[in-house]
Amino acid sequence: MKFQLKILFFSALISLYACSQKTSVTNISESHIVVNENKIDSSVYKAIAPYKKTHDEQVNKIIAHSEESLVKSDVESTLGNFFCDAVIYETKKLLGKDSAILDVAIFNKGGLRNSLPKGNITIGNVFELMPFDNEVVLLKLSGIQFKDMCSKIVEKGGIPIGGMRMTMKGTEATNISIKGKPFDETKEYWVVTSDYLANGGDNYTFFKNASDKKVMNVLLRNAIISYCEDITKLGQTIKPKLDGRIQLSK
Amino acid sequence: MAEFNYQNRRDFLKYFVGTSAVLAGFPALSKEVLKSKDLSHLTILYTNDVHSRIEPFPSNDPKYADKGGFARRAAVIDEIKKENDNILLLDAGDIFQGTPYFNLYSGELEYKLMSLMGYDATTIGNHDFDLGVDNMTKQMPHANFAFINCNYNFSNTSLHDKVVPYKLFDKQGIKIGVLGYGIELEGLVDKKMYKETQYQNPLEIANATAKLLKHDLGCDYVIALSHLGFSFTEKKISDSAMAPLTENIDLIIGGHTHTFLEHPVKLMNKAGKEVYVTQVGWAGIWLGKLDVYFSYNKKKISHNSNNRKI
Repeated sequence: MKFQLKILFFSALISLYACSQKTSVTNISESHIVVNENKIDSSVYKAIAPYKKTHDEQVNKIIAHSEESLVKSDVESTLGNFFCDAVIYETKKLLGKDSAILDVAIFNKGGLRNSLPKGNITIGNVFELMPFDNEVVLLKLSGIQFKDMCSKIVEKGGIPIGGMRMTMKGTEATNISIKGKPFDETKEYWVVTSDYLANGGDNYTFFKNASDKKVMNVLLRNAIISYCEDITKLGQTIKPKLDGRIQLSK
Repeated sequence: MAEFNYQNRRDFLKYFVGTSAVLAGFPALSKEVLKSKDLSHLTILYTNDVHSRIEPFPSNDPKYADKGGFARRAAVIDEIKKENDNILLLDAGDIFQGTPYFNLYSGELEYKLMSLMGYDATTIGNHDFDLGVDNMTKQMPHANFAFINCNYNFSNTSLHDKVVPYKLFDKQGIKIGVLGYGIELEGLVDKKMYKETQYQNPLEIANATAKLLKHDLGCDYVIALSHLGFSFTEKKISDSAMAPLTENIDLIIGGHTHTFLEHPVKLMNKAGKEVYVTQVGWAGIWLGKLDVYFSYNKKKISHNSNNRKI
């Protein structure tokens, strides 16, 4: 094992037993070590093997190709945009003739658990992005509840959204538009999200008071997998983008 | 690092012997004690938020390509055990959730591998409830390490007799007390998953438990396994906020916020004593390592910390 030794801090303040037995910490030294990447424990490796075989068969299937890597970031992110747009696409497919009712998608940043790489996207990648068995849920929000949702987006410093645009100005959400039309507080809006947030998870309490709810009985992960397979069939690739759907006002 | 630790320790012993020789009333150290390189040296190894990262990150991962992996972490631990067998291997929760291994096997493999690696204890993170409190109970026969938590009341759940509030470890005469506590579940975990688990504010219970460990049970060193998170912008209890209000805890090994702390943070507790707060990110990318040196009369005398990138 090759250690790269880097002593960052070393101090000796030895008052020790000469003064008092109560003296405790006398020195702190810290370092970081990079461990040889190829060294493995064979018993642990062997224990993984039978599980890995089944695992690999299921998750190594390539379902799409991405032009760039998709990552999370503050305000607006390529990963968040992709995720929301994909869920909107799938939900509309599930809604069929009612697809026009869907306005907006919203998810929590913490729910997207990993980046997606540039190049081939496998089922395993989507599992790591969305490991939770969360379901696609639609909620009908009043204008006031929708406004609360927008405040939450600002409070969180921007979270994954789709179907809408807004500007974060201080602690306020301004210039809100939905499917290209200005936000109207007297209207009701259908929002697609996860059952986790719909049940008030991550303190999205206003979702609990939605006037109507549609549970689509589809896992979010499967919605993303289905979207990837669809665009691949159409000969398309994933083209990560930031389109200014959330803007920061100075 | 091995050489450095050892050198450091020898310097200390040299100093110690020199000093004690001129101090009246100090019992002389036997040669056996001085020779026994493990007697007064405890190595604490730790992880948090490993999140089912059984294999290293794939080579095309944008952030952590080729990092982590259980078999490689096990190899690092094996190496450290060669240097010093006085080891405590701990985890601060969120073992579950994050790769298809969890979706396919519900946590069985994570517990099996941690047992194989020689983990001594873990605490319970919010994601460990992801397939329900009963799933944890179901997977526990695969674990031969302790589950420690003092602020969740599990009495009306299947975990009622599976989780302990603290555990004592005797490492060649050094008595270590380990307690654990977790984050508020309401609003974070679906109620249908945690069922009748009742969260209680960790501060009072942790202080009472630590006092019991230090004063009544005579522990030389008290470690808290925490899944509260390092710090929050909003007003919410965290390791950083809670540490100054604690007493009798020497080290807080944290989790939840996936914070990569290059060095443990040293804070002053309520009694004006040092308490270290540490956390090593997530996914087993780093292995935390803290060396604590105890004198012949078991007084803690020095810390030496380094976090290993795997």
